[in-house]
Amino acid sequence: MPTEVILPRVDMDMTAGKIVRWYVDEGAEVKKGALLFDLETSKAAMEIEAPASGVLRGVVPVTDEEIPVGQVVGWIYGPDEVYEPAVAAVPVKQSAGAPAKSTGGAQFDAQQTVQSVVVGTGVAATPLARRLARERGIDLSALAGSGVRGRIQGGDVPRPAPLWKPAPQTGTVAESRAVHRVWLRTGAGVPTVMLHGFGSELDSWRPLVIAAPAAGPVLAVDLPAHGKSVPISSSNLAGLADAVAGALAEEGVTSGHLLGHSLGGAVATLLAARAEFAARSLLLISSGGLGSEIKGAFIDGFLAAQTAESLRPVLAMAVADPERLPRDFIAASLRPRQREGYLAGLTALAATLFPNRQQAFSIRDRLGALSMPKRLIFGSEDGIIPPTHASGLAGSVGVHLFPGIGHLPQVEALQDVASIWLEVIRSVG
Amino acid sequence: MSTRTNMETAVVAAAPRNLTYAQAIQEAMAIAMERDPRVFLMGEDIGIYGGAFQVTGDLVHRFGEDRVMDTPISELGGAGVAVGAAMTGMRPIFEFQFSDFAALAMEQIVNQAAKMRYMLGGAVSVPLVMRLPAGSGTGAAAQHSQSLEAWFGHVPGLKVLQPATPYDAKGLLLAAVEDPDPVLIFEHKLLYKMTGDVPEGYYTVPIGRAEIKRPGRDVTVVASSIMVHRALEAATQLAAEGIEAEVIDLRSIRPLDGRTLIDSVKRTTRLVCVYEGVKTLGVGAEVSALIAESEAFDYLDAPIVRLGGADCPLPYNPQLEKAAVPQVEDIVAAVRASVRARV
Repeated sequence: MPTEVILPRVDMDMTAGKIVRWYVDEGAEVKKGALLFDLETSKAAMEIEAPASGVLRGVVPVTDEEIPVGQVVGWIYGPDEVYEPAVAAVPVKQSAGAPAKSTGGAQFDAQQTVQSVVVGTGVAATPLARRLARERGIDLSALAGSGVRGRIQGGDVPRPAPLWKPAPQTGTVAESRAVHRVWLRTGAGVPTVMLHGFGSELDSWRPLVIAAPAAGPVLAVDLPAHGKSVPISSSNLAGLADAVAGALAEEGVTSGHLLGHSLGGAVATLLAARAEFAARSLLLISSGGLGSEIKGAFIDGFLAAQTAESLRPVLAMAVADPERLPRDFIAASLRPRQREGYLAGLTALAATLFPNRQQAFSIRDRLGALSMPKRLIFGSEDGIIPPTHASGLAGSVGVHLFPGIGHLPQVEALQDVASIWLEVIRSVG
Repeated sequence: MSTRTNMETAVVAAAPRNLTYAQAIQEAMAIAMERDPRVFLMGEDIGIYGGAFQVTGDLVHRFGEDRVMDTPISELGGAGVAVGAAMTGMRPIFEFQFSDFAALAMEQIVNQAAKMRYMLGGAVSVPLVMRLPAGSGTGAAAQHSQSLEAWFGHVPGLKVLQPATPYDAKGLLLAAVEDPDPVLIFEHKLLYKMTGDVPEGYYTVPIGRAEIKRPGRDVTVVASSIMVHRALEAATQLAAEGIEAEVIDLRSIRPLDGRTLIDSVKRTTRLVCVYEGVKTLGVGAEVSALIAESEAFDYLDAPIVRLGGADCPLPYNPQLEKAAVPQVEDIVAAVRASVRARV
């Protein structure tokens, strides 16, 4: 196998880079360790060395296009490896005696079948397989192809694990638990614990979980008084964190990534500070607890609304563009209201957490003291919590500020949030 | 019957009868002449003789020599008269004895008929229909057996049709007569005796619309003219092995019905193009490229296969002639390879 030359990740935040210059020409000899190309990222320029000795082939041209990290940008062929140009799928005739290095133009022979289907990433795969792998977040190079010459076909790309894990038949069933939770995705790896915001529920995370198929298992929790969880007596922030910590202990989850939105962000930060749960990373979205202001009209309107018509303008405050409100969002927010005691529990919680419609809790100091990687995502048009709360934090907190996005970046900028989540997970390993 | 899907275009949809492909064409010409006094027929030996393949038959006795006109043995001259007649308000239907002879009339078809509307700013159009007996299988050798539809499909301003059934042969011819622009209809010589349901009276089949002749989930087989029947026979054989091929009859080479093709490949994830014309730069090449450039690309799970005619003049020897164009067993093998990932 020729050695792949890939676009390397040279810093943590880098997802793509530009090749600004090749030091070795296509078809020329290169020695391992010699200068190969100049890489430019949004932050820095860097010289990249050859990973092997041989003849450089199939180099991507120098353009202004950004190339994603991990993409193959060329190959280095050893002395015994025969180069087959793949781009135009023009077959190269191999004479039996001396395998040609194909220094001249490829010979054209319409009758001969194409010898190599290697394209793009250096993996032989059908367009269908490539699309499915892309959508499912699967690395094609890890798959075995069942097609001709090992070509990966659509059927070779594994389906993602089912999103819904049935409630275990042993032990207490979900309904009887004080804190309802669901594994939105099961599987091996470090789980992410997801905590929703005020008035929401764990099902709201499903699109994000689907958008990041490679992000590993996900345990989503209904905060007390939300979704299918019952209210608790001490409904302050510490009480919420206690309840969630108890649920994690019951699930046997002692370590994982924490991802919280709004109120859930503040709860997640408290959890991250607790000794019994080893938080690997902390990702906060439009987090509460970073300042005192919060849109009172949203909380009051949310608690008062009885119909879809009255709820619609309230929920519209949460997004920069009301058109981006998912169609089933209003119905999903109305559904739990039919349960007895739901609104009362939520109202009591709001009275404790947001007296006089101010945030009565702060995580600002705690956040800076945490040692795991910390990221905060805010939308610049957040109408519920002012995005100015994202400023003045400890320098160790990475802040993503999305222009033109409101209080629900995980809805309004779904793919971006999914990417950041994946990035955080991968940065921890 | 798949042909029933076209019934909505029928103005008078009387009970179908079994007609040959040649009879269906003759009936279409008769109906066109009855409906519109501007319609008339031109061609070599189409009068008393009834046409090289007896398609015009006895129409000269019904409509007279003014409307069923024998022309001298000059395709260029005849085509020139037809183009001029069309430009000045008539609706000629011009028959070539063999589509191969259209090479003699190329100037009139390509440089005149196809371009008049454009060059004269829409002031005139050329409502001309040409009928071209085409294809191999009759032992007529290299100069009388070609499938040249791709030549004309390459010319903007022309419409190029390839009916595969008696029903489509009649409906497409009547649609062509109505069309304001030159339409070339390639009729396969081996199909003239094929029979099929043909409704009485006037109906049209829309130009530029392909038809799914047989639905299937595993592979899309795109064919036209006689290859549709070979593909259907192949699909029947493949069904016995559990391979469900979707057979699409292009019917129209230009314009090409991209939507139907793209949607089909997105469903089946595989494409095999079958055409009698020479493989290189042929109709199947165009269909392949159309799919590769479309949204269907990301659905392809096997390389596209072109099964076309051999890159050689058609041989006189019947065995070699057969070997030079796709046969049922070739289609079966190509589809099998595509579906079982042996391509």
